[in-house]
Amino acid sequence: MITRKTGKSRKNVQVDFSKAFEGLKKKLYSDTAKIIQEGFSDIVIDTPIDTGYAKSNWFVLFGDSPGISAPSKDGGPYRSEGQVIDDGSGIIKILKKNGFKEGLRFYNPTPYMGMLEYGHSSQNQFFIRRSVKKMANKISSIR
Amino acid sequence: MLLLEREILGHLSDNWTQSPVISWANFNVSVNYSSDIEYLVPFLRNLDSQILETPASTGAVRRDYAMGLNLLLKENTGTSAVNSYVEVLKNLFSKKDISTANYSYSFSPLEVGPGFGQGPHFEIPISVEFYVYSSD
Repeated sequence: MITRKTGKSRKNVQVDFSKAFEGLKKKLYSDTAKIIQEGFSDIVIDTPIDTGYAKSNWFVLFGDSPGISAPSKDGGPYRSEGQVIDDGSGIIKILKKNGFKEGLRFYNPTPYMGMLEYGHSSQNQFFIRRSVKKMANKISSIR
Repeated sequence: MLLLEREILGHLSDNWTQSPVISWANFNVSVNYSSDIEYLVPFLRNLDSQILETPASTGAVRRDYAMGLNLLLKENTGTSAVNSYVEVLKNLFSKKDISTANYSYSFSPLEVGPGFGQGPHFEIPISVEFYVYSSD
């Protein structure tokens, strides 16, 4: 809400935009978080499956936090698709609450992730690039 | 497959004169890969499509693509051949504006990733992005 105060002399007018900006900021954070959550879900869902190991290794990390070592590929059971998405969404919610003051990254330590993304025989080449492009386009069109 | 996809693949087919054989395995052509033959494996992935104007029914459309141009090379043959093939692909696509019969394509810089063993070959992932405007 924009509030206006007019002084007695009518020469002294104050307009307070702070509440309006606060509302805009909240909407911006909310829209951005939604797009990032959808992007993360898309990447997890689109990760090619053989054993489910690569899909289970997706994480959302704060910008500067160290990466996570790949757990051993021991036949599982691995984290389910829903669990991976829920865990990532939890981190995105924290970042949203903090106003995206820290960067975030999607991280996957699976050693053969490059083959899944770029390999000619992969089930779903460029699945990461596709999600990132869609996220970028959606974020740039937030109004 | 969209006409704009067919035309840019046709451009590749018409202009690729190097020894690796183009494998159209990603376009419904079966290929029995032989370890004695080197291949160029194109694939296209639509990244996003956006209607840019209203009304949508007549609005221009921007389509973004990633094009893979992976090389499958004989194992243990070093990198000199890779460099020469990459140079040819760069000259064909990197940062180029290409016009075909019906479309104009704007390409990003070509990118070459770290290679890995894949079956009987060593695979070099090569990719380039492009966008194209169309009315459909």
